[in-house]
Amino acid sequence: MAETIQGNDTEKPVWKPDRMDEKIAKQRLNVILMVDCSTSMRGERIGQVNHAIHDIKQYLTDLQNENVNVDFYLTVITYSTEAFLLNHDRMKAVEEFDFKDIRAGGWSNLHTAYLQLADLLKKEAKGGIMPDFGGVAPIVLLLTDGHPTKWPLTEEMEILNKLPWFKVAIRYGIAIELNDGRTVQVLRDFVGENGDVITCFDAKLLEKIIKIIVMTASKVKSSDSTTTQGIGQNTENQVTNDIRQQIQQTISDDIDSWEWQDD
Amino acid sequence: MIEFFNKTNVGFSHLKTGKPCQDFSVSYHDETRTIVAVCDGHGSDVYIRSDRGSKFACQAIIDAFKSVRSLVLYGKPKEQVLNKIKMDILCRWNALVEQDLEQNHIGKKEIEMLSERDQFRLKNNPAKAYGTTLNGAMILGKYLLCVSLGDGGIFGVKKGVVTPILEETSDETVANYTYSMCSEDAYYHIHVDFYNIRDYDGVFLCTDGIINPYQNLPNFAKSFILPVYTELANGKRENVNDWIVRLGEKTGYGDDVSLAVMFRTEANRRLYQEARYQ
Repeated sequence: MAETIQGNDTEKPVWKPDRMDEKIAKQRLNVILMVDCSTSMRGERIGQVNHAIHDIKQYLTDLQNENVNVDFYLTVITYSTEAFLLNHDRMKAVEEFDFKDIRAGGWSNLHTAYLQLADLLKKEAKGGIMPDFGGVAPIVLLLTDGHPTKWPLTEEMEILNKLPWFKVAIRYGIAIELNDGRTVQVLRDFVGENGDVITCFDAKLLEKIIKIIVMTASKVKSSDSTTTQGIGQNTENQVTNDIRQQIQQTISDDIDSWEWQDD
Repeated sequence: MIEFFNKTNVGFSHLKTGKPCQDFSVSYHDETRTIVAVCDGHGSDVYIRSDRGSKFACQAIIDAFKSVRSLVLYGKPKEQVLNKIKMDILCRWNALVEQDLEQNHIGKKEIEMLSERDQFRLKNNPAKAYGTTLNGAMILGKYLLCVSLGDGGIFGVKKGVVTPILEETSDETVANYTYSMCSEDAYYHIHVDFYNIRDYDGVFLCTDGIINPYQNLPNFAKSFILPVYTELANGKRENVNDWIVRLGEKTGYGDDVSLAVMFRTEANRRLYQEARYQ
């Protein structure tokens, strides 16, 4: 049955354009990070992730101050034996996001994170975090360093693939020091055609790669959040190309500096 | 007695980039019927003639609705009647597009700025250049007939209660994605239905440029529909006019904005006049 809305007695409609302006919100750009916190992530890997999230928060706050089009909202899903929303926040305005370092330990139950994500990527009227009208495609980044405990993830992917907000989301996967074709395939299934899987062969580069993905995607999406409409993938292609170029540059810079040090 | 109102204004992002206004709205009234429509031509690069597409969609709604006789709505099985109206609108829009393509071929100059992929898409399906949504409504006798495809929406108001009409249930129209008149499967995404007009005091038709800045129905109903309705019921059309301009050029998301409203004056004038002064 269709939802109905009634103005109640205390809120009679009034014609005050300035007050009516206050009810118009800026576009919301949701950035969702899905972080593997299983035991194998302990040490440098989770440390790099924590550094990256600190910097992302600062970067997005600055970008928001420069950008009149959008407000950034952050969500961090951590998963090990179970999946949790960091600070129990389904989404948090980036300037209010209180980040405390993530600790690692436990299994790698990626399927629980998929279900947590599926709960979020619905319209607000249906219990999710996405706006009922319009909205900007969210950015979702999944990073893992190992094979999921439950496999295959066919059922969970089917649930996600039915969600329109998942279909339009810009999705990236980072495989951390993995030499495992099956896990890379899990990430490929997750990103589909809306993003890329990046293999990070050296955990020292992890922080840089996370930042490049989130920052580039956020910058492109926030500048493109106004009125383009129809059925197309121009923005997604631009994001993917920009990220690929920057990551190649980062990796080659790192190799250059390594060679230089050896010399 | 039925009063009606419609207004379209260009959005600030189109003003900035020099793109034309791709929305179109229209109203029609004669002794038997009142029709309003708002249509939103798509904004992506490939839809190079979507300003015409939205105008043709409004024209198709007016022509198709004018050909509907009230007896038809009683007579045949409902589904058959609705499918006929749906097909009529689609055929009329396609005919207008074909006619325009015959008279004004898509030239090299018009597509030289497009990517190769978009050029290929237009060569395969030139009607894509005219991609648009549509929302239309007609009061005919005791009936309210509505048609909708894609985003934007139709909202009914009864004693201060706002209800979406022909709400898109598939949820597919999220972010900037929408169904389109230029899609091959457009017929399956056009929703048509009729209702008893006594179930509504008035009907609002809006393109997404108006709805999206409010983000959810409770906010949209309280902060836009009910204040606008109250102003219109009080004869303050100029206030609503100014608000639509302001929403398009300053306070909205930069998209073009279109609003069309029909309302019955005898049933609710007192209700909404009183609301204004409390």
